[in-house]
Amino acid sequence: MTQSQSIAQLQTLLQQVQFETALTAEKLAEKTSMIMTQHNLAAENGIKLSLDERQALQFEIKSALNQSTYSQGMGFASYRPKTQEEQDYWTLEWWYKKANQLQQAQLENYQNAQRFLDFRSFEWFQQPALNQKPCLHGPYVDYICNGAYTITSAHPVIVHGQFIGVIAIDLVVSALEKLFMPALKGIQQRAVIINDSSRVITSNDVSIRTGTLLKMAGEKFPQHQADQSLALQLVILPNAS
Amino acid sequence: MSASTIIFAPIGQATRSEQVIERLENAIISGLLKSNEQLPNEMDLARLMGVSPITVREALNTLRVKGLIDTRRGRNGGSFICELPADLLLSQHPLRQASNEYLADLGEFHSAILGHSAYLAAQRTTRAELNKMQELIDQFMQQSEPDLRAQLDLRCLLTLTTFAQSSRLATQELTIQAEWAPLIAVLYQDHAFHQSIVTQYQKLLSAFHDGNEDDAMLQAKRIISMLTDQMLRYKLALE
Repeated sequence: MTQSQSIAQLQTLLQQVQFETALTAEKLAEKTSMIMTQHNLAAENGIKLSLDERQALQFEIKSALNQSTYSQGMGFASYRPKTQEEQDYWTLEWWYKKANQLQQAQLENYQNAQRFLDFRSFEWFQQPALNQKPCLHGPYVDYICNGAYTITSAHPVIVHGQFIGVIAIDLVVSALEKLFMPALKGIQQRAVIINDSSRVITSNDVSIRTGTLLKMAGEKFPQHQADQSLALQLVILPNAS
Repeated sequence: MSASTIIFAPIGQATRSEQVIERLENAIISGLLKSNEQLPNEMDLARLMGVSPITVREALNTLRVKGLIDTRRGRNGGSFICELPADLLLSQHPLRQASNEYLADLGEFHSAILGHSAYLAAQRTTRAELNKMQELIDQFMQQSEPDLRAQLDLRCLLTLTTFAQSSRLATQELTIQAEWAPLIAVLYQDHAFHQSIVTQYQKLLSAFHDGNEDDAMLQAKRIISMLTDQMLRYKLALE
């Protein structure tokens, strides 16, 4: 494969990964919204799933996870503040792939643990909650769901104009590395995949490590990306002299 | 916020039943688990802590005999934390029980994890993340309750290890916090000490702003050594 073919292949992969995850998040958020449409939101600020709602949601999450090429885990997160009668409640309906089987992560049973870990402090929950827009967060250390270095594509769930929670789709960095590395190796110069904060996902150069911030004089990188709106970008640097 | 994640974090090898007893005992005596709070059931505890249900049952029996928990039958039954007399809480406090050697050694290990986390974080942290850290430190500063001060301190430490972008360092920090948490709340009854830790966090943050990794490492290690020294001082004053 020639160098330009490697670059083209990486661009296609980057697009596919981001389009697929964003689309999965959007569709799953729509379905979640449909499931909750009968939920009486006026009575409470935030949400706690009924048994029927939970079963319907589990079905949708599992089928989206089964169909996803790139995601290793996904789910629904919602926070209901405490009322006069009840304590606050953390909903975390979470599923992941293990040896090609779908498994549920038992995260919701321990409300005290969730209170301590507080997923509201993570961008993937905070951003959609604040501006009702999807976001791509990471890479970051996920110590709530999978304990791994992760990128999360998040989409708000809106019911009757009101934000009730977030659908989050996880991409594990080690899996992305496997996906990108063959094409990265086909590039002669130093080639790096970064996010919109210039944080390194992976590279073909041992001195440019995952998780570091790529810094260059002038702060402007030569972009090799057809679509500048994507968060994950390929950057090609001149070889160090 | 509560600390049950770290209380019920997976247990290492060796005498497992004793470790379960010690972990829960420390959490109860130090007030991390509050009186009348319900423990997860035996099966769930076994899964959370990574030990067999039999080990959990043994440990719960011992805690029952010691009068730390009581077990209620029926639909709303389970194991609950007992109300404990103040003199027992003081005489059995984990800081009093722990040896100086244990505290100093735990402090050194914690310092190794946090020092390197800060070293990495100084080069790997964006402006937005530093603002988040600033907010956390401000929250920590504003707390007046020892328990809440301790919880925010733990959150600041965990956040620092995630800024290193290393899942291993963050996981290791959570494991250390299981032992660390019961020891520190009592230290934060001292307002001057609380203030001195706040100041130290601010020094660390300014090292991050300068992108100075060597200074960040030193300032982070200093937080841990100040806490360790205070534990040892508190213990000495008790004896």
